[in-house]
Amino acid sequence: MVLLPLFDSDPYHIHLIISVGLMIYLAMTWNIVGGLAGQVSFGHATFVGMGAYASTLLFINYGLTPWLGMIAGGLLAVVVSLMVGLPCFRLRGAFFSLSTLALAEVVRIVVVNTERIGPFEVRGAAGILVPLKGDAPGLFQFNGKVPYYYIIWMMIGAVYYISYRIKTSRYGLFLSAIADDEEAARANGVNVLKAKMLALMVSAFLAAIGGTFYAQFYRSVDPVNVLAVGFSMEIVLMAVVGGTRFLHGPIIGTLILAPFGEVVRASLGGSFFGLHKIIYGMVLVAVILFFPNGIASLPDLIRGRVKEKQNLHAAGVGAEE
Amino acid sequence: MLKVRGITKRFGGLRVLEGIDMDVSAGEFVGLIGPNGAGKTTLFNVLTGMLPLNSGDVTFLGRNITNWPGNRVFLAGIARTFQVVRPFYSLSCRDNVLVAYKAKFGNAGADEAAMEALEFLGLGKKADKPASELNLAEKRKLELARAMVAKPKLLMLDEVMAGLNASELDDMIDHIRRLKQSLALTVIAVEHIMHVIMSLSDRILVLNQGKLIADGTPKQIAANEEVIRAYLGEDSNAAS
Repeated sequence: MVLLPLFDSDPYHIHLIISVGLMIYLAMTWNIVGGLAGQVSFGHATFVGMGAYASTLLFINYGLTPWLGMIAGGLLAVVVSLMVGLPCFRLRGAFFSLSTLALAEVVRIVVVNTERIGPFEVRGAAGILVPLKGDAPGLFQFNGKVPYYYIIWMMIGAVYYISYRIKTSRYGLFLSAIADDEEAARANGVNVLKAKMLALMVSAFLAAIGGTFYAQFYRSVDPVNVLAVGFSMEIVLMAVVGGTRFLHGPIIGTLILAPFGEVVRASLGGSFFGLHKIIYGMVLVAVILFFPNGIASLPDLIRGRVKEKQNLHAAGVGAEE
Repeated sequence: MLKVRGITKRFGGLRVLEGIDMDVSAGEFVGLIGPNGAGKTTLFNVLTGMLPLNSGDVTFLGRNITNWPGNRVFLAGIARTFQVVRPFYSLSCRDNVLVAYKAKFGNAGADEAAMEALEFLGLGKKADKPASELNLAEKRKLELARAMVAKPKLLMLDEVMAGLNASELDDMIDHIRRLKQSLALTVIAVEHIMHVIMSLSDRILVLNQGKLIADGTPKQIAANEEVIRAYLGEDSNAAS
C-alpha cells in the first residue's frame, strides 16, 4: 500500500485511495468516542467542519499556514465538544445520539445562513475556496496527489496509535466499562462524565485535523458537504460495519464500503443519484443480522463455531463411550 | 458508620421512600427485608448515589455524602452489588475487577489485587474468560470480587442470592462470611431468602411501602406482628 504510487500513477486511483484514506481516518477518530466509549454521536462532521473552516479562514485572513491552522481548528473543535458534551452526555443512549444530530444540524443551518463572522467571510452555503498556491508544502499544498497519499496514511497510523494507547490504558478500561454498562461503571468508581468528555475532546481534536486535510485536498469547504448529516452518518456507518469494538474495525468497514461508494457515485451518480446510500443501507442490515459486532468480528465468529462443533463432537463421542 | 436521616424519594407523585431513619454500626451485618415494591432497591440506589434523593441526609464515617455521585460514594468506601447482576459483559473477569481497583488505587499492584480477589471467590481459573461466559452464580461472585478489590468499608448486597440453587447458595453464604471477616466489613444485605438473611444478620430492618416498620434482632423481627402483616396481609394465619 505504501509503495502503491510507485506502481500506479493514475491520478484517479490515487485520488480514490486518498478519499478512502480520509474516511478511514475520520471513522477511526469517531470510534474513539463511538466505539471505545460506546457513545454513538451523529454530529462528527461538525468537528471535521470546524477544522476545515478554521484552518482555511486563518490562512485566507492571516496567511497562517494550515499546518498550524489545524491546531487552532483542533482547539476550536475541543471547545465545541465541551459545549456539546456537557449537556448531551447527561442523556443516555438514543437520546444522546439524537441530541448530537440536532446540534449538528443547528451548526450546519447557522453556517449556511451566515455570510460573515467578525473578520471572517464564511460565505454561507456557497462555502469558501482554498487559495491556490501551487506546490507549497509549507502551506500544506502540493501539485500532485502523491504527497497527500503519504500524509493521510501517516495520519491513519497516528490515530491508530493514539487509539491503541487509549484502549490499552486504565482510561481505555474505564471507557470499555462505560460502553458496557455506564451505571455499573459509575457504581465501581469510574467518573463517567469526565471519561466520556475526554474521549469526545480527543475525538473532536483529531477529527478537526482531518477537516484541515479535507480542505487542503479538496481545495474547498462548504457546509452542504462538510457539515452534512449524511457525512456524519457515513463516518458512523464505516465504523459500525467494520466493528466498533475493534481498533481495525473502522479500517475494514471503510475499505469495504468507501471504494464501492466512490465508484458507484462516479459511474452512476448522474442516473442513479444516491444508489450508493441504498447499498450502504443494505450492507448495514446484513451486518446487523449476520455480524452484529461488525465484519472485524468474523475471525471470532469462526473460532466460536469451530469450538462449538468441537464441543458437540466431544460430547457426542463421550455419550457413545 | 452509616447514619441516615429523613430520606424521602419520590417519582413524580409516587412516594417510594418516606422519612427513612437508620443507623448502621461498624462491623454489623444488617439485613434489609420487605415485600416486593417496599423500596429496598430504591433505598440502596439513593444511598449509593445512583438516584438523587428528594430530602434527607446520609452520613458515612462522619462525612455528609448526601447526593454524592455514585463514583464518589464508591471511592469513599461503599461498594454494592446489583439485584439484576451487572458485570461488564465484554470484559474478562480480570478486567471487570481491574475497573474497580484502578478507579480507586490506580495501576500499582492492580494485577495482583485482581487475581487475589478472583481466587478468593473461586474464579481464578476464569480470569481471562469474558464475563458473558459465566453462569449466574459466577457472575454474582464476580460482582463480589469487583466490590471487594476496592477494600470497601461498607458492602451493600442487593439480593445476591437470587436465582442460586442450594449448593450455590451455601457457597455464596460461605464467601460472604469469609469476605466480611477478612476485610472487617460492615454489610447491608437485601434478601428475600429468609432463612439465609436471618442466619447471617446481627440486625434486621424491615421496609414496607417506603417506610421502616421494624428494626430488631432476627428473633424479634420473626415475631413482629406488623412484619407478619406486611408480608401476609391482614387476614393471615401466620401464627405458626
